[in-house]
Amino acid sequence: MPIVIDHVSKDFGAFHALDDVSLTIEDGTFVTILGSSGCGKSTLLNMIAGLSSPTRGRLMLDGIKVTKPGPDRVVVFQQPGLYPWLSLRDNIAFGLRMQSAARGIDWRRVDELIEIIGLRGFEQHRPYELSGGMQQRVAIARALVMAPRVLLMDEPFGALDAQTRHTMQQFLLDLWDRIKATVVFITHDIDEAILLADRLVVMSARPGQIALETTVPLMRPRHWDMSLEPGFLDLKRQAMDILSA
Amino acid sequence: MTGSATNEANTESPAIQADDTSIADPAAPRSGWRHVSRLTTILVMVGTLIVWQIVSDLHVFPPIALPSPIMVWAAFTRLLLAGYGGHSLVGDIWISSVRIGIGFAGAVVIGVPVGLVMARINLIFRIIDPFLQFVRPVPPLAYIPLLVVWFGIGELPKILLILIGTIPVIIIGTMSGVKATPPLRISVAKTLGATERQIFRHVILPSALPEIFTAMRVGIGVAWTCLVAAELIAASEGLGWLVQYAGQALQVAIVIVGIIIIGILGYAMELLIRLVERWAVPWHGRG
Repeated sequence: MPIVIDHVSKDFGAFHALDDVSLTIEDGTFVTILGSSGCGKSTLLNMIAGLSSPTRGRLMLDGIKVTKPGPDRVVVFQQPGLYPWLSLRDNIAFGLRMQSAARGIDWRRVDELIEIIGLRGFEQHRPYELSGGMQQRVAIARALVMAPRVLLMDEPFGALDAQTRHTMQQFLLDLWDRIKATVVFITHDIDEAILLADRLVVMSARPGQIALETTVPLMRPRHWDMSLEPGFLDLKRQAMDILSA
Repeated sequence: MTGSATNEANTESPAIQADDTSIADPAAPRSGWRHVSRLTTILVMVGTLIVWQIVSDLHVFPPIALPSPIMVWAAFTRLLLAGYGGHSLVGDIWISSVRIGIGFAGAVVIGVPVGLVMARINLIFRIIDPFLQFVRPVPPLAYIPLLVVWFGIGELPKILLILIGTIPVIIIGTMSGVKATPPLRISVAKTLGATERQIFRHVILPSALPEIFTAMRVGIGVAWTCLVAAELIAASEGLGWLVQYAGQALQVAIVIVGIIIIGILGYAMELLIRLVERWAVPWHGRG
């Protein structure tokens, strides 16, 4: 039971961003949190990451209260945020380097991830020499190399064009089938939320509350044409009702 | 695009291969225009020289006030061979370059760390900032009499003037570079478990580099202003002295030679900094 969100609220001055949110995220599940902008879903993710703290309630990871960021809860943000002075390989190894001296880095793991994200041959490229989709794959590899307890993803494909986003969603599905990590994925895209998730959480806005929490009735491995299945469409209709309310 | 990677842990998977590998080359489409603009520059310079020659040949102004380009060139070759006022031209260029080199290097070596510390520690900022704000708007010229009284007319007051004039530019540029670090870069480092010290060393410092170099390019111009000002008033050699001394003797051609050399050297130093910048900060404007 890695993550327990226990009656968490977050206020920004008089604005109630999150109101009494409780959620348990099981090991090895892919959880998507779906909501329109301003529903507090990124606020929730930032609190799991330890980048901000709740006004009321508490967040626990393996029974320990979350108080600050840590490499066991790495975040992939909407923008890749790669370091332009480092090569692709050094970007992926950044977190490892922060944890240990340079000679302590397990370069085999770094190179294995470069292989997995399909960017072999680009090791020495600088980030600005890569396309947006490639950069975001590097950001994902940079997070995964830390072997985090939970991978937090804050609309990681939101800044990409439609075609690249589609490719990246399939990339993430294939990747997840390999690594079966615990993932919390924030999005405002209904199709993306259902397609990727084991557990789907839909949030309503002002104040941010959980309106629906359910299991996605689709088999794995997933593929895009599953978005035409009845189970998918039922869930999509429910989610749309909540988001448009 | 099916999930064929599922069962093949370490083999290449077509589903997750790079299919968006286009690499941008920002310089490519502009190269045609670059030739045109360079030609324009050369044409304007040649045109200016021709107009200058014509105007002085027409004797609109007396030749002593406006020597022709040919006369200036002759003055330059004489200066190069025989020197002026007991100094060789190369010697004047050398001593001015040394003063600039030491004063400017001192400003960078002191200014960058001070700027970094000021940006990080509020107390230090509160201590140093009032002095900075006071020194900055005072024209360097105003310090010369004071520096001469305190340190005489040797090398020290000239180097100090360059330092005083340049250091605020470097400090302020460094501070603004630190503060302009994109918050995302810091958040990423935090979630990857970096400590405050590591974030400063591995994220903020490299992020500040482009602005530090911009400050250095502005600073080298300020340094030249200070140098020439110091040499005009309290020197017996150097390019500023050459211009001043020749002017007093109404040797306008030599004055113009001095001005052109000061301009070329200043430009050359800026180009040198730009070259170092391109090597040290290749991501500038692209990151």
